[in-house]
Amino acid sequence: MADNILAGLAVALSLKGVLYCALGVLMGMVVGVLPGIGALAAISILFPLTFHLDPAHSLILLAGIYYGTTYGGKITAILLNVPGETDAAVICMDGFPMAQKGQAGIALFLTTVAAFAGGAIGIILTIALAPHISEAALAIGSPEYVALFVLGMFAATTMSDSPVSHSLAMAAIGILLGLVGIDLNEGVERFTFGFNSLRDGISLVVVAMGAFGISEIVTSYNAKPFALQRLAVRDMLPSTAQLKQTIMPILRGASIGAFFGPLPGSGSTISTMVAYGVERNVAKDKSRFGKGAVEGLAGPEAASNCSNITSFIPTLTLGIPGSASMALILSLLIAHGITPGPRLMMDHPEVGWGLVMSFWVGNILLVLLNIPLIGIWVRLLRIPVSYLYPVILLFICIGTYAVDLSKSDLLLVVLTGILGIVARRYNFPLGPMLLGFVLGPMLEEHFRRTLTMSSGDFGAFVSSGISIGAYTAVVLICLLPLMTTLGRKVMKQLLGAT
Amino acid sequence: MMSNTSQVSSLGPPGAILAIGVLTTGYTWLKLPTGSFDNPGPGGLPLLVGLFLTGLGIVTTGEKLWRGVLSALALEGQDAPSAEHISLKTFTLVVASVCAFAALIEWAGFFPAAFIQVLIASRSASGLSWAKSIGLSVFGAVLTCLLFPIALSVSVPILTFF
Repeated sequence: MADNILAGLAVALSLKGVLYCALGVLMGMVVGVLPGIGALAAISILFPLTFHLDPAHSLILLAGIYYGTTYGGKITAILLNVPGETDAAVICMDGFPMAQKGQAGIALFLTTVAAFAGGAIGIILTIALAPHISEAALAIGSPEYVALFVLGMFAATTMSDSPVSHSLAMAAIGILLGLVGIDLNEGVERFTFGFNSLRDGISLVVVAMGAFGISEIVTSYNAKPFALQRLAVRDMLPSTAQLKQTIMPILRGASIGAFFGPLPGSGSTISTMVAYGVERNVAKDKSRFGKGAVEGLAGPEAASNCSNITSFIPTLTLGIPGSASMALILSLLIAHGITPGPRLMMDHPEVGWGLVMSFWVGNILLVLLNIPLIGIWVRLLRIPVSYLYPVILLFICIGTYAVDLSKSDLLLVVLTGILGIVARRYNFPLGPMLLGFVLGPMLEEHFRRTLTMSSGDFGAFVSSGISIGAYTAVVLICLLPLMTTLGRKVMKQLLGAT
Repeated sequence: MMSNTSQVSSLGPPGAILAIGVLTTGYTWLKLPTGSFDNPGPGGLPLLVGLFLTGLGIVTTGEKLWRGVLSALALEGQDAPSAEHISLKTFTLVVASVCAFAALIEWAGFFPAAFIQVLIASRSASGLSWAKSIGLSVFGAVLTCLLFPIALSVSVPILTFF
């Protein structure tokens, strides 16, 4: 294993590796900082840039984009109270009040420190756990994969505030979109309706660019620029007392993030919410929360970044993405002819371990890019989106066209864009659809294999502990809305009591 | 009292799920070989997904009807259309700009396609003069030319006329 880790380190620390990681983080932050554009939309827009590199560097670039966009969203959340994602909404709760009190720089500095510490803990855990999970996963067969895919898709229903029925429907629609094209086993065309351009299936880029990119641009095109105060590095330094106040919240937040990160569908949203709740409950003076408490900022941010890193564990070791962003990363591996799963870390150490080791580079770069360049990010937020969106739309067009040099992909991107706009209009979440799209073909392969090998015995799907555990988790997820309602009532009572 | 329009709007999302489920089930059943339990065909999983969507649509539509019109409203607006304002002008120009890019990319080359695409898309913005739109289009076309065909070696001709 040490050799593999060293091979990964060599890739991550090579000049090319560092440059691509820096480029990814920088581009991710530039797009992620734009108000209204969430991490997933930003990753979708920048996704095609990774196609023309070798697998290891394309993955490093995409991972850099991933945590760059995620962190960029936090800047917007703190300065403008505009969260691009649900977890950034938690950061708004105390980050924006700090900004209103003239402490925006300190809030951003503490967020950066918390993100770095949370990320570092996440990386150590990933290095420690990934090889063991990979080894254990070698025993997983098709029935277990079906159970884990089903769990992944049900877990995706927790990714948004939309009704569960809407999330499930979108996951199912995603599966159907993923099955468009010629069935490789029997050569039968499915859902092509006579269009030759659909015979090879729909590209993930088309779905991601259309559903996320186009719909995002159309819905937030005419947003007004924000009035912002100037920020310099000297405004960012917190007091010693403020720094001390953040140590324990960072450790608690990272522990929470480490627990929720690898679980499918939970990711950073749940971990940031739980971390905020924990900090509020352990605080002596709860009334400071919501008014600029540094613990309310540091704990959730550490949880968020730690879970972002540890969420790579199931994607890399099992080939099962826990979120739509991870689904994009998974599909990048597949596009490069690499099968994600237990053997990835052993057969392609330069890819698997190169990525894990690049997390260190990315994490350090986040600090280096955030603190000295804060003035640039603030200036970027002043640019009206009417200047940026036409160019971003051009990125979408060329990104889509470049995949197969196909004009029909551009028309498909318009259609999936319309689907995305309609879905957003009626509160149907797009994340589960993307997850279903990526998992659908794999689910079908394992589903058919299980039935063929068991001679049509449906009992084979629940013949192991892993399968039973996964389906039990599915049942628990179905009961989640009930538990959430109870949780909200408890939270209301707690808030009312203070 | 809820109007007929609101009733229809409240039943819209579950109705859409039901419609997609029924259409998928029907298409799969009629057009694709579903195979047998011990050898599922290409229609096997799509049929299951279609049935799942149909069931989901029936349950959610039934739930809406059962709860009645007023209680459907009381669900804290869960299914209500979101407040996101979508401008028809923006939508039309964004779609037109992508279609223009598709039409020009092979005929005229990357640079003209990129220029026209940004020019059309930028007209959606209120208060952007033609001069600024043209400047932005030149900037976008040059930037993406440098990035995609030159730096990333994407094989598209920059100009087909020369």
